[in-house]
Amino acid sequence: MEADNLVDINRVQYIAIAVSVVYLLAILYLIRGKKIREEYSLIWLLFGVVFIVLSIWREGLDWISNLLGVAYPPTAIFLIFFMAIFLIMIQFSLIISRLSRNNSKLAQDQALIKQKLEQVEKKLSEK
Amino acid sequence: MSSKNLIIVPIFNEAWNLPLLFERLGALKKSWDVLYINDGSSDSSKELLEAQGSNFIDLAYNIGIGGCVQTGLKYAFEHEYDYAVQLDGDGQHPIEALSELLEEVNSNECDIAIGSRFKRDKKHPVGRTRRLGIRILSSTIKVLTGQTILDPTSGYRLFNRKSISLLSENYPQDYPEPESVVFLLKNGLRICEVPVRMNSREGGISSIHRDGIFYMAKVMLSMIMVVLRPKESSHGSR
Repeated sequence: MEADNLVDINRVQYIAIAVSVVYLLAILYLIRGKKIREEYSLIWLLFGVVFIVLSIWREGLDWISNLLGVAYPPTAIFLIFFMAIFLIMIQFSLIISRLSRNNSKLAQDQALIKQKLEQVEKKLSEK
Repeated sequence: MSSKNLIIVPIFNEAWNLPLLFERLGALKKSWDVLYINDGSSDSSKELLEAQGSNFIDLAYNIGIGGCVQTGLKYAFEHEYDYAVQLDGDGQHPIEALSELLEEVNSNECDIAIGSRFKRDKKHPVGRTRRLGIRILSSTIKVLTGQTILDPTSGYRLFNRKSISLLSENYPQDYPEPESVVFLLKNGLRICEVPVRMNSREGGISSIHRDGIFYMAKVMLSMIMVVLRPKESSHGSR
Protein backbone atom coordinates (compact mmCIF):
# COMPACT_ATOMS: atom_id res chain seq x y z
CA MET A 1 0.00 0.00 0.00
CA GLU A 2 2.79 2.37 0.77
CA ALA A 3 4.32 1.87 -2.64
CA ASP A 4 1.05 3.00 -4.24
CA ASN A 5 1.18 6.26 -2.41
CA LEU A 6 4.58 6.94 -3.87
CA VAL A 7 3.24 6.85 -7.43
CA ASP A 8 2.94 10.30 -8.91
CA ILE A 9 -0.78 10.59 -9.53
CA ASN A 10 -0.14 13.19 -12.20
CA ARG A 11 1.94 10.79 -14.27
CA VAL A 12 -1.05 9.08 -15.90
CA GLN A 13 -2.38 12.48 -16.84
CA TYR A 14 0.87 13.48 -18.55
CA ILE A 15 0.94 10.19 -20.41
CA ALA A 16 -2.70 10.55 -21.45
CA ILE A 17 -2.12 14.06 -22.76
CA ALA A 18 1.04 13.03 -24.61
CA VAL A 19 -0.60 9.98 -26.21
CA SER A 20 -3.67 12.00 -27.24
CA VAL A 21 -1.53 14.70 -28.82
CA VAL A 22 0.62 12.17 -30.70
CA TYR A 23 -2.55 10.41 -31.84
CA LEU A 24 -4.09 13.65 -33.08
CA LEU A 25 -0.88 14.64 -34.89
CA ALA A 26 -0.68 11.19 -36.47
CA ILE A 27 -4.21 11.56 -37.85
CA LEU A 28 -3.45 15.05 -39.17
CA TYR A 29 -0.26 13.72 -40.76
CA LEU A 30 -2.22 10.98 -42.51
CA ILE A 31 -4.75 13.49 -43.82
CA ARG A 32 -1.96 15.77 -45.01
CA GLY A 33 -0.40 12.87 -46.90
CA LYS A 34 -3.84 12.06 -48.41
CA LYS A 35 -3.80 8.61 -46.80
CA ILE A 36 -7.19 9.25 -45.22
CA ARG A 37 -9.83 11.35 -46.86
CA GLU A 38 -11.05 14.27 -44.79
CA GLU A 39 -14.63 13.07 -44.58
CA TYR A 40 -13.57 9.73 -43.09
CA SER A 41 -11.10 11.29 -40.67
CA LEU A 42 -13.52 13.70 -39.00
CA ILE A 43 -14.75 11.09 -36.57
CA TRP A 44 -11.17 10.15 -35.61
CA LEU A 45 -10.27 13.80 -35.06
CA LEU A 46 -13.39 14.30 -32.97
CA PHE A 47 -12.39 11.49 -30.64
CA GLY A 48 -8.84 12.76 -30.51
CA VAL A 49 -10.14 16.10 -29.26
CA VAL A 50 -12.38 14.35 -26.74
CA PHE A 51 -9.37 12.37 -25.44
CA ILE A 52 -7.27 15.51 -25.01
CA VAL A 53 -10.04 17.42 -23.28
CA LEU A 54 -10.67 14.54 -20.90
CA SER A 55 -7.00 14.07 -20.10
CA ILE A 56 -6.46 17.77 -19.30
CA TRP A 57 -9.74 18.46 -17.57
CA ARG A 58 -9.80 15.75 -14.90
CA GLU A 59 -12.97 16.93 -13.22
CA GLY A 60 -14.64 16.59 -16.59
CA LEU A 61 -14.49 12.84 -16.33
CA ASP A 62 -16.05 12.94 -12.87
CA TRP A 63 -18.71 15.25 -14.19
CA ILE A 64 -19.51 12.95 -17.13
CA SER A 65 -19.56 9.81 -15.02
CA ASN A 66 -21.86 11.56 -12.62
CA LEU A 67 -24.09 12.54 -15.52
CA LEU A 68 -24.14 8.97 -16.84
CA GLY A 69 -24.66 7.54 -13.35
CA VAL A 70 -21.38 5.65 -13.48
CA ALA A 71 -19.96 5.11 -9.98
CA TYR A 72 -16.35 4.55 -11.00
CA PRO A 73 -15.15 7.35 -13.37
CA PRO A 74 -12.66 5.28 -15.43
CA THR A 75 -15.59 3.09 -16.51
CA ALA A 76 -17.03 6.15 -18.22
CA ILE A 77 -13.92 6.22 -20.40
CA PHE A 78 -14.56 2.66 -21.52
CA LEU A 79 -18.19 3.45 -22.16
CA ILE A 80 -17.34 6.43 -24.35
CA PHE A 81 -14.63 4.42 -26.05
CA PHE A 82 -16.98 1.54 -26.89
CA MET A 83 -19.58 3.90 -28.28
CA ALA A 84 -16.95 5.55 -30.43
CA ILE A 85 -15.72 2.20 -31.78
CA PHE A 86 -19.28 1.16 -32.52
CA LEU A 87 -20.03 4.30 -34.50
CA ILE A 88 -16.85 3.98 -36.47
CA MET A 89 -17.43 0.30 -37.22
CA ILE A 90 -20.94 1.00 -38.50
CA GLN A 91 -19.56 3.75 -40.68
CA PHE A 92 -17.02 1.25 -42.04
CA SER A 93 -19.75 -1.25 -42.86
CA LEU A 94 -21.59 1.46 -44.75
CA ILE A 95 -18.51 2.39 -46.72
CA ILE A 96 -17.57 -1.22 -47.46
CA SER A 97 -21.10 -1.99 -48.66
CA ARG A 98 -21.08 0.98 -50.97
CA LEU A 99 -17.63 0.14 -52.28
CA SER A 100 -18.50 -3.47 -53.03
CA ARG A 101 -21.68 -2.41 -54.78
CA ASN A 102 -19.78 0.09 -56.91
CA ASN A 103 -17.04 -2.44 -57.47
CA SER A 104 -19.24 -5.12 -58.94
CA LYS A 105 -21.13 -2.60 -61.07
CA LEU A 106 -17.81 -1.42 -62.43
CA ALA A 107 -16.71 -4.97 -63.25
CA GLN A 108 -20.03 -5.64 -64.99
CA ASP A 109 -19.94 -2.52 -67.12
CA GLN A 110 -16.29 -2.98 -67.98
CA ALA A 111 -16.86 -6.61 -69.03
CA LEU A 112 -19.90 -5.71 -71.13
CA ILE A 113 -18.00 -2.93 -72.89
CA LYS A 114 -15.00 -5.21 -73.49
CA GLN A 115 -17.25 -7.79 -75.11
CA LYS A 116 -18.92 -5.16 -77.27
CA LEU A 117 -15.56 -3.77 -78.35
CA GLU A 118 -14.34 -7.23 -79.33
CA GLN A 119 -17.50 -7.78 -81.40
CA VAL A 120 -17.01 -4.46 -83.17
CA GLU A 121 -13.35 -5.19 -83.87
CA LYS A 122 -14.26 -8.60 -85.24
CA LYS A 123 -16.85 -7.08 -87.55
CA LEU A 124 -14.40 -4.44 -88.76
CA SER A 125 -11.69 -6.97 -89.56
CA GLU A 126 -14.18 -9.06 -91.55
CA LYS A 127 -14.85 -6.18 -93.90
CA MET B 1 -42.87 -15.78 -85.21
CA SER B 2 -39.81 -16.74 -83.27
CA SER B 3 -38.49 -15.11 -80.15
CA LYS B 4 -34.95 -14.10 -79.30
CA ASN B 5 -33.71 -16.41 -76.56
CA LEU B 6 -30.53 -16.25 -74.56
CA ILE B 7 -28.90 -18.86 -72.36
CA ILE B 8 -26.78 -17.26 -69.66
CA VAL B 9 -24.08 -19.62 -68.42
CA PRO B 10 -22.22 -18.39 -65.34
CA ILE B 11 -18.72 -19.88 -65.27
CA PHE B 12 -16.53 -19.99 -62.21
CA ASN B 13 -13.65 -22.47 -62.37
CA GLU B 14 -15.61 -24.82 -64.59
CA ALA B 15 -12.78 -25.94 -66.89
CA TRP B 16 -13.28 -29.59 -65.94
CA ASN B 17 -16.84 -29.48 -67.26
CA LEU B 18 -16.57 -27.03 -70.16
CA PRO B 19 -15.83 -29.50 -72.99
CA LEU B 20 -18.96 -31.47 -72.07
CA LEU B 21 -20.94 -28.25 -71.80
CA PHE B 22 -19.78 -27.05 -75.24
CA GLU B 23 -20.85 -30.36 -76.71
CA ARG B 24 -24.29 -30.28 -75.09
CA LEU B 25 -24.99 -26.64 -75.88
CA GLY B 26 -23.58 -27.02 -79.38
CA ALA B 27 -26.27 -29.59 -80.12
CA LEU B 28 -29.02 -27.08 -79.33
CA LYS B 29 -31.31 -25.66 -81.94
CA LYS B 30 -30.44 -22.32 -83.49
CA SER B 31 -33.23 -20.59 -81.61
CA TRP B 32 -31.03 -20.28 -78.52
CA ASP B 33 -28.04 -17.97 -78.26
CA VAL B 34 -25.48 -18.91 -75.64
CA LEU B 35 -23.61 -16.36 -73.55
CA TYR B 36 -20.95 -17.56 -71.15
CA ILE B 37 -19.94 -15.28 -68.32
CA ASN B 38 -16.56 -15.95 -66.81
CA ASP B 39 -16.69 -14.77 -63.22
CA GLY B 40 -12.96 -14.31 -62.73
CA SER B 41 -12.08 -18.01 -62.92
CA SER B 42 -8.58 -18.87 -61.78
CA ASP B 43 -8.40 -22.08 -63.81
CA SER B 44 -8.23 -22.41 -67.60
CA SER B 45 -11.94 -21.62 -68.15
CA LYS B 46 -11.18 -18.39 -70.00
CA GLU B 47 -8.67 -20.04 -72.34
CA LEU B 48 -11.15 -22.82 -73.12
CA LEU B 49 -13.86 -20.27 -73.91
CA GLU B 50 -11.49 -18.38 -76.18
CA ALA B 51 -10.33 -21.53 -77.95
CA GLN B 52 -13.93 -22.58 -78.51
CA GLY B 53 -14.67 -19.18 -80.04
CA SER B 54 -17.78 -18.88 -77.91
CA ASN B 55 -19.52 -15.63 -77.16
CA PHE B 56 -18.48 -14.78 -73.65
CA ILE B 57 -18.19 -11.94 -71.21
CA ASP B 58 -15.08 -11.85 -69.09
CA LEU B 59 -15.41 -10.23 -65.68
CA ALA B 60 -12.11 -8.76 -64.50
CA TYR B 61 -12.42 -10.42 -61.11
CA ASN B 62 -14.80 -12.64 -59.20
CA ILE B 63 -17.96 -10.75 -58.22
CA GLY B 64 -20.11 -13.70 -57.16
CA ILE B 65 -23.01 -15.54 -58.76
CA GLY B 66 -25.54 -12.71 -58.33
CA GLY B 67 -23.46 -10.07 -60.08
CA CYS B 68 -22.40 -12.62 -62.67
CA VAL B 69 -25.95 -13.55 -63.67
CA GLN B 70 -26.97 -9.89 -63.55
CA THR B 71 -24.27 -9.15 -66.12
CA GLY B 72 -26.00 -11.65 -68.41
CA LEU B 73 -29.37 -10.05 -67.74
CA LYS B 74 -27.96 -6.63 -68.58
CA TYR B 75 -26.63 -8.07 -71.82
CA ALA B 76 -30.01 -9.65 -72.54
CA PHE B 77 -31.77 -6.37 -71.87
CA GLU B 78 -29.40 -4.35 -73.99
CA HIS B 79 -29.54 -6.81 -76.89
CA GLU B 80 -33.33 -6.95 -76.72
CA TYR B 81 -33.78 -10.61 -75.96
CA ASP B 82 -37.32 -11.76 -75.31
CA TYR B 83 -36.26 -14.53 -72.96
CA ALA B 84 -33.17 -15.28 -70.93
CA VAL B 85 -32.48 -18.40 -68.93
CA GLN B 86 -29.77 -19.09 -66.38
CA LEU B 87 -28.07 -22.42 -66.93
CA ASP B 88 -25.36 -23.32 -64.47
CA GLY B 89 -22.02 -24.39 -65.88
CA ASP B 90 -21.66 -27.35 -63.53
CA GLY B 91 -24.03 -29.50 -65.56
CA GLN B 92 -26.75 -29.60 -62.91
CA HIS B 93 -29.43 -28.02 -65.04
CA PRO B 94 -30.78 -30.37 -67.72
CA ILE B 95 -30.67 -28.73 -71.14
CA GLU B 96 -33.63 -30.83 -72.32
CA ALA B 97 -35.92 -28.86 -70.01
CA LEU B 98 -35.23 -25.54 -71.76
CA SER B 99 -38.15 -25.80 -74.13
CA GLU B 100 -40.47 -26.79 -71.29
CA LEU B 101 -39.54 -23.65 -69.38
CA LEU B 102 -40.12 -21.54 -72.46
CA GLU B 103 -43.41 -23.21 -73.17
CA GLU B 104 -44.58 -22.70 -69.58
CA VAL B 105 -43.91 -18.97 -69.74
CA ASN B 106 -45.69 -18.74 -73.08
CA SER B 107 -48.73 -20.85 -72.34
CA ASN B 108 -49.26 -20.09 -68.67
CA GLU B 109 -48.84 -16.35 -68.93
CA CYS B 110 -46.18 -16.07 -66.28
CA ASP B 111 -43.09 -13.89 -66.29
CA ILE B 112 -40.64 -16.37 -64.81
CA ALA B 113 -40.46 -20.15 -65.02
CA ILE B 114 -38.44 -21.93 -62.36
CA GLY B 115 -37.07 -25.39 -63.02
CA SER B 116 -38.25 -26.99 -59.81
CA ARG B 117 -36.90 -30.08 -58.10
CA PHE B 118 -40.07 -30.74 -56.20
CA LYS B 119 -43.09 -30.45 -58.39
CA ARG B 120 -43.25 -33.87 -59.96
CA ASP B 121 -41.74 -36.49 -57.77
CA LYS B 122 -41.51 -35.98 -54.06
CA LYS B 123 -38.70 -38.49 -53.87
CA HIS B 124 -36.17 -36.33 -55.59
CA PRO B 125 -32.60 -36.92 -54.48
CA VAL B 126 -32.19 -33.85 -52.32
CA GLY B 127 -30.27 -34.15 -49.07
CA ARG B 128 -32.16 -33.97 -45.79
CA THR B 129 -30.62 -30.69 -44.57
CA ARG B 130 -31.07 -29.01 -47.91
CA ARG B 131 -34.68 -30.15 -48.10
CA LEU B 132 -35.34 -28.74 -44.64
CA GLY B 133 -33.68 -25.46 -45.61
CA ILE B 134 -35.75 -25.20 -48.77
CA ARG B 135 -38.93 -25.97 -46.83
CA ILE B 136 -38.19 -23.17 -44.37
CA LEU B 137 -37.49 -20.73 -47.20
CA SER B 138 -40.60 -21.81 -49.05
CA SER B 139 -42.83 -21.31 -45.98
CA THR B 140 -41.26 -17.93 -45.32
CA ILE B 141 -42.01 -16.86 -48.89
CA LYS B 142 -45.58 -18.08 -48.40
CA VAL B 143 -45.91 -15.90 -45.31
CA LEU B 144 -44.22 -12.88 -46.91
CA THR B 145 -45.96 -12.94 -50.28
CA GLY B 146 -48.90 -15.34 -49.91
CA GLN B 147 -47.62 -17.42 -52.80
CA THR B 148 -46.26 -20.92 -52.94
CA ILE B 149 -42.90 -21.47 -54.54
CA LEU B 150 -41.78 -25.02 -53.91
CA ASP B 151 -38.17 -24.61 -54.99
CA PRO B 152 -37.03 -21.03 -54.37
CA THR B 153 -33.35 -22.03 -54.34
CA SER B 154 -33.30 -23.26 -57.92
CA GLY B 155 -31.03 -21.22 -60.16
CA TYR B 156 -32.54 -22.75 -63.29
CA ARG B 157 -34.90 -19.95 -64.22
CA LEU B 158 -36.24 -18.46 -67.40
CA PHE B 159 -37.10 -14.77 -67.47
CA ASN B 160 -39.28 -12.89 -69.92
CA ARG B 161 -38.59 -9.37 -71.14
CA LYS B 162 -40.41 -7.75 -68.25
CA SER B 163 -38.46 -9.62 -65.58
CA ILE B 164 -35.16 -9.16 -67.46
CA SER B 165 -35.78 -5.44 -67.44
CA LEU B 166 -36.52 -5.39 -63.71
CA LEU B 167 -33.68 -7.69 -62.64
CA SER B 168 -31.00 -6.16 -64.84
CA GLU B 169 -31.34 -3.06 -62.66
CA ASN B 170 -31.80 -4.80 -59.35
CA TYR B 171 -30.43 -8.23 -58.62
CA PRO B 172 -29.22 -9.57 -55.26
CA GLN B 173 -25.49 -10.21 -55.10
CA ASP B 174 -25.05 -13.17 -52.74
CA TYR B 175 -27.29 -16.25 -52.59
CA PRO B 176 -29.64 -14.44 -54.98
CA GLU B 177 -32.34 -17.00 -55.76
CA PRO B 178 -34.85 -16.88 -52.86
CA GLU B 179 -34.41 -13.14 -52.44
CA SER B 180 -35.06 -12.48 -56.10
CA VAL B 181 -38.17 -14.67 -55.95
CA VAL B 182 -39.58 -12.43 -53.20
CA PHE B 183 -38.47 -9.33 -55.11
CA LEU B 184 -40.22 -10.46 -58.28
CA LEU B 185 -43.44 -11.45 -56.49
CA LYS B 186 -43.45 -8.19 -54.54
CA ASN B 187 -43.23 -6.29 -57.80
CA GLY B 188 -46.22 -8.11 -59.19
CA LEU B 189 -44.52 -10.54 -61.54
CA ARG B 190 -45.87 -14.04 -61.90
CA ILE B 191 -43.76 -17.10 -61.28
CA CYS B 192 -44.54 -20.62 -62.43
CA GLU B 193 -42.67 -23.77 -61.57
CA VAL B 194 -41.87 -26.53 -64.00
CA PRO B 195 -40.89 -29.95 -62.69
CA VAL B 196 -37.34 -30.65 -63.72
CA ARG B 197 -35.10 -33.58 -62.99
CA MET B 198 -31.79 -32.00 -62.02
CA ASN B 199 -28.63 -33.87 -62.81
CA SER B 200 -26.54 -34.77 -59.85
CA ARG B 201 -23.73 -32.30 -59.52
CA GLU B 202 -20.70 -33.29 -61.44
CA GLY B 203 -18.62 -31.20 -59.08
CA GLY B 204 -18.78 -28.44 -56.50
CA ILE B 205 -21.26 -28.15 -53.67
CA SER B 206 -24.31 -25.98 -53.18
CA SER B 207 -23.97 -22.79 -51.18
CA ILE B 208 -26.84 -23.81 -48.90
CA HIS B 209 -24.72 -26.79 -47.84
CA ARG B 210 -21.40 -25.04 -47.68
CA ASP B 211 -22.57 -22.03 -45.70
CA GLY B 212 -25.47 -23.62 -43.79
CA ILE B 213 -26.71 -21.36 -41.01
CA PHE B 214 -25.07 -18.26 -42.49
CA TYR B 215 -26.83 -18.90 -45.81
CA MET B 216 -30.20 -19.24 -44.09
CA ALA B 217 -29.73 -16.19 -41.89
CA LYS B 218 -28.59 -13.98 -44.76
CA VAL B 219 -31.35 -15.13 -47.09
CA MET B 220 -34.10 -14.80 -44.47
CA LEU B 221 -32.97 -11.28 -43.60
CA SER B 222 -32.75 -10.29 -47.26
CA MET B 223 -36.22 -11.64 -48.02
CA ILE B 224 -37.78 -9.73 -45.13
CA MET B 225 -35.97 -6.57 -46.18
CA VAL B 226 -37.24 -6.90 -49.74
CA VAL B 227 -40.79 -6.92 -48.41
CA LEU B 228 -40.11 -3.87 -46.25
CA ARG B 229 -38.64 -1.85 -49.12
CA PRO B 230 -40.88 0.16 -51.41
CA LYS B 231 -41.84 -1.35 -54.76
CA GLU B 232 -39.81 -0.49 -57.82
CA SER B 233 -41.91 2.24 -59.39
CA SER B 234 -40.81 1.43 -62.92
CA HIS B 235 -37.81 0.20 -64.79
CA GLY B 236 -34.64 2.14 -64.18
CA SER B 237 -35.71 4.08 -61.12
CA ARG B 238 -33.76 3.51 -57.95
